[in-house]
Amino acid sequence: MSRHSEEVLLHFQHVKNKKVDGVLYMMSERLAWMQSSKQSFTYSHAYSDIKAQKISADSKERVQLQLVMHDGSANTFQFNNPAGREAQMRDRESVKELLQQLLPKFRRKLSSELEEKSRLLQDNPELFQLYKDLVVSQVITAEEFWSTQGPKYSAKEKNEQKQTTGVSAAFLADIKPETDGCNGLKYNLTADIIESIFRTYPMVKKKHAEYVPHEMSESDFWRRFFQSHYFHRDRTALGNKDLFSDCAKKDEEEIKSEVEKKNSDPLLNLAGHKDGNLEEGYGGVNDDKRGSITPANLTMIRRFNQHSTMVLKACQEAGSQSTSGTSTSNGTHINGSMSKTSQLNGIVDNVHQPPQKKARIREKLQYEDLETGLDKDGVNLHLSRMERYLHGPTPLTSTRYTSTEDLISATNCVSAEIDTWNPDLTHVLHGSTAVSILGELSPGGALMQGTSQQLLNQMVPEDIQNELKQNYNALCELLRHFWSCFPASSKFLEEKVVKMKSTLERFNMAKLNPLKDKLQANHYSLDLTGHMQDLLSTAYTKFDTWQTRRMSRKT
Amino acid sequence: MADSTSTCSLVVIILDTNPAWWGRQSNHGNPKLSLSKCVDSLMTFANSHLMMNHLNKIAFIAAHSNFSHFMYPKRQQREVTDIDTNIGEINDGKYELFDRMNNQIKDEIKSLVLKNMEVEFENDSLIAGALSMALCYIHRMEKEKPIGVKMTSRVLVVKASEDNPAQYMNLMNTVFTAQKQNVVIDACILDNDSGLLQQACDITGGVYLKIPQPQGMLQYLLWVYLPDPSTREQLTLPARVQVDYRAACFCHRNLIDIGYVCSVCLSIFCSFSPICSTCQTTFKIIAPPKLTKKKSKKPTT
Amino acid sequence: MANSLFSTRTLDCKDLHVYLKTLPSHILDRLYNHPATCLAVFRELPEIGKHYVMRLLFVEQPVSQAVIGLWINNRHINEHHICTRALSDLRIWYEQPLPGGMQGWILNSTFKTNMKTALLGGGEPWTGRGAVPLPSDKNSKDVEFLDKYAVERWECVLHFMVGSNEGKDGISGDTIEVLKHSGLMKLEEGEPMPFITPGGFQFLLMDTPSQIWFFMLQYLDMVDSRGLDLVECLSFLFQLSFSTLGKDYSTESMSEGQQRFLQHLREFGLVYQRKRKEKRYYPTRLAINLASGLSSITSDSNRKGFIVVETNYRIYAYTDSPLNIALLALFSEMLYRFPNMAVANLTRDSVRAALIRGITAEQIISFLRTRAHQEMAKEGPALPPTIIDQIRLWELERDRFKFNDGVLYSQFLSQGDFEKLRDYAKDLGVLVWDNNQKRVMVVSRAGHDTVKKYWKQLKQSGNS
Repeated sequence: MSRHSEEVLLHFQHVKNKKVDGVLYMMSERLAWMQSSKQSFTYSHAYSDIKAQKISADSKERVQLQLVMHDGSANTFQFNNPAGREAQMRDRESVKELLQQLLPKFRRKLSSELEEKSRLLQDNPELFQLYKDLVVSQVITAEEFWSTQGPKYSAKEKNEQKQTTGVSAAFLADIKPETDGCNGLKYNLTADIIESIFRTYPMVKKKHAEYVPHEMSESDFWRRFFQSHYFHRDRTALGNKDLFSDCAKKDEEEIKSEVEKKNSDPLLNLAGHKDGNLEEGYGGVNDDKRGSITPANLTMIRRFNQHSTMVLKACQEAGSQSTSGTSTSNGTHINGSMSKTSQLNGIVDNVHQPPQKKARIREKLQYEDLETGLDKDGVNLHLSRMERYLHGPTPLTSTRYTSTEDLISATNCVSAEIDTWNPDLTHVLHGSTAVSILGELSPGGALMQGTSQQLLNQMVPEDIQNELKQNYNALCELLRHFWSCFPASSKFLEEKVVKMKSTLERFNMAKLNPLKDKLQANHYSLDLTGHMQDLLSTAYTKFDTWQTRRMSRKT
Repeated sequence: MADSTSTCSLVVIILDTNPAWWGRQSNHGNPKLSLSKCVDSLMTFANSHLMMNHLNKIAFIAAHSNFSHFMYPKRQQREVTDIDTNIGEINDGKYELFDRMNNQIKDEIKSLVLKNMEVEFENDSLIAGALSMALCYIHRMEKEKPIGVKMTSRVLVVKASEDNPAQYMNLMNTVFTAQKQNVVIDACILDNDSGLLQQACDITGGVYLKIPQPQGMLQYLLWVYLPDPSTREQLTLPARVQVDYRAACFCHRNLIDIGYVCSVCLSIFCSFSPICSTCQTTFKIIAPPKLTKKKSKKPTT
Repeated sequence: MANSLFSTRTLDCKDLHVYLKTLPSHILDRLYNHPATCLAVFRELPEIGKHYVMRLLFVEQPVSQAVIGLWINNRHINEHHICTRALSDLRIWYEQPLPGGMQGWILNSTFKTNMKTALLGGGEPWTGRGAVPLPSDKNSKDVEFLDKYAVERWECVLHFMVGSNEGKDGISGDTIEVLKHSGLMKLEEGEPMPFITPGGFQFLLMDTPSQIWFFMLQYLDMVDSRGLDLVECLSFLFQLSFSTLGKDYSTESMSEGQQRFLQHLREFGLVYQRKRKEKRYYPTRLAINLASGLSSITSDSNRKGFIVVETNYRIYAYTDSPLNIALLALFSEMLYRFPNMAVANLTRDSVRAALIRGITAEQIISFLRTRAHQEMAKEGPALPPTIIDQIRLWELERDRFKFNDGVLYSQFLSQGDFEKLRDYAKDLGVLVWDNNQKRVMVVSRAGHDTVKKYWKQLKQSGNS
């Protein structure tokens, strides 16, 4: 955490905390308060730690702001601007608003992260063991641990995060009005909801930008919004002087244009869709005999449709921004532009359908895997020196040179021997030779090296086995970190190598050596930790060569 | 009581009778083991195998330097005449069946060595050919075996001369056939360690042993090779050798751990060359950085 | 080599191993004087035991027991114990202390020498294989003839047992003696001819090699009474079983006893000799299968299977032999007879009738299995499993009672006495059954004495 680089977004003098005067700073990631007389922050709250903010009622004498933390604690600041109550209120409002903007960003990130981590640990006992071994015993920090383990396990989540979350279709319905005891209704608007409204109804956003805060306050604006005809559109008009009236007009136009935009996808038959119910005959009923579509219902349906269109559009815009519009542009678009060009060229021909349409139909009709495959002429493999494959893994040079004479004399010798030979099996083996070979072949003999009578898993008790396994696991994880740094092409990697080296040494001291001592105390004939030691020493050598090379390069 | 099948076991012995090696062995220095002594030991081993169970069978093949020869059992007709000619020789306490078999092997060895004097000899023997003969014989026996008898077959290769690298493909093919047919290949090595047979034994689950005292060959045979694979599990036998499965590069025939494999023809090279010398494929390398120009680096084991 | 159907089964006669163990040790040592006996004994050893013998065959000195113990895997230590016991029981090896004071094993030198002789040659030639080869036989017999002859002879004995007229002529008094001695036949007073016992029926259901082995064991039991030497006969028998089918052997070097033994074997069909005075004989397959099929393998290579069993309990027997049909009728209900085949039905009643005669389910099954038609033997288990199971179930039906010997205690004067005694017996674990109401209890025979003693003590103390 480098404090210098932090950007101070706001700061206010004369903010009291526990009756001590101080300065309140709002920075990009945290909110801090410094006692006037001191040089360091007395309090520092990361935004991600803050759960909510509360403000004192306007009627109260003191102008206060309370921060409630995730752990349940709270901290109260009193704004004490000597310029008077107005100024105090203003200070608080600006803090509040900034907080309002900042908190949701941090909150989502934090909660999901924490939850994710604990879930990962619970789901993967091995990871949990590793966490205990490495992080709890402070071989590496939690941050390092997650930086490598996290991506591995949460790769899936990451993919999903890329997709922008759409707007819930029910966001307006979710705003629950509360009665405030009197005749009025109270709407609680969160930043999320406001954001949703803006995204869905760009007109409202525009109005908001126009009026707030020059002509009316934030809350005033929203009060009007909720009271407006625009919000309660299907009800009878409230008043003419509604600032959202032109919004409605604009919407009407949009609906019209949307309706006019003919869906020219040849594969979609919207007109064929009947609002029939499937209860009887399972889709066999073609006529909708209800005929109960009253104008009120029609407006309702229209509104729903419009709302849905807006919600979808809001989503689409966000998507096309990120993917430059390629994936989300639909068939209507292409068809529209196409027909325009064909009109321009003046070749409007009904017989010749636009090739795009054809392509679409072909796409639906033809299946690649059903087509008769075209046999392509492969490239012939021309191999020279085939005999190379036939040779075994034996060096060619090893054949001993033998002269013809040598061979002839050898052959003669054998034939002479065989000629006079008459098998005499009774002297086939001498007792003494038999005994010496018996010694060779009995366990412990020359030829029986390495045949241990017992299996290793019988010799070593279960708990030692488990401990070994855990240590192996931890070590391998560390080594993976270590080796993944090579080739150390960046400054960061170089730093990491050095860090990992020291971590490995720490592991060696803190974990491996005690284990070795323990095993030695148990007198196991086999060196069970030998391999781990080997692994470590290989890493050390690699580090040393790397180090020396780096040094030589520098000089 | 439960199983109504009886098992018999067929052992095919392949003896390397390359006169060049055996002759040189007895010519120079100390003759640790002569061919005749070796055959004596093998005959005793064969007798012992037949003695274990009356259903057990034996076959004997000689792998000569330029051909392989089937020595026992011979065709039915000859066996009958053999009985007649050999009757006079039975005059001691040996079991008739053993005696007949031993005599036949003796005759065959003699005729094999003495009749093939004029042919050019090589330093190596046709182990692969003999092995495939053995597999064919085993296959035939498998088909001819009586109903209800379970037969386990194995091949014992007694080898002294050097490996012939040109036989590599043939040998490996027979080895994998053996593996498919559940035939175990054992190797008893008298002199030169054989990388090929090491692999053969490892693949088929047999025993590979280079015997330190050739003059006591019989004891090794009885100890290590007489038990059939199911019995071997119960006994403590010499540990398996670590088999070197490394490949040799095509350019220098060196055994390598890591090499370059042509992605087209799978040739193996110990150093990088832009054109594969086997299939003439050119490897395009886009701006090769100095250290990482390895195109297709792969461990080749 | 023999090739045909094999099956293992429980023989109600001893196998070679058990038989040899019953022999006194000096006879065993004498037996090992012949290579053929050593071979036969060796083949009967447990698998691991064979390897132990082979490993030690060329070693002249005792080998430490600890070392031999390490030859086998830890997991198979049980097999090791079984082997060492078997080898010691048969006196193939014995303990001998090593110089260092440890115990070692050393092979029986007689056994070792003769094993080596059989394996490597040297030593005395086997009887019948004289140094002078026989001149070739003018009327030499081929294998087919010998097989036919052997079966004929042996069936004579069987026919005699079932009392049919076919084989009466060729049966000597000696054979009848053996049959009577073994309890296969019994002679009722006043009857001229013996008749078959339930044991005899069981014998008939065995396969031929087992029959012969059982018969030979009974014969050997009586050998002494005939003035023959057991060792001489046994080693000749083993030698016979290791000879070659279709080859003739000379009687030249045989002793008087062996000559007489040979004549008996001739009668059962184990050897063929054209005339009594003929100087040569041919061993038949019956003799050769004797050693090869001693315990585990029973082969009927010379005879084709003829029985087909269907899952509907029907048996088709392709045979015209009255003996075979008679045997089949022992446990099945005959339905039809044709010139070359008979049809029978396995029913609960017919099988139960056989079981009542003392024939076991296992014997019926093995009879059917060993004589199964080749087509049946080709696929998996020769008999339908349902049939096998049902026959076994029918046998189990009869085993619903468990019999315990016991002594009944009754007429107790008081409930207290009864309870005291009953509890005492119960604590000892000798109480078989008791009834509180009737004041009766049954105590097993083993516990009778102690319970009686206790009762007497109780009465005395009660009186005093």
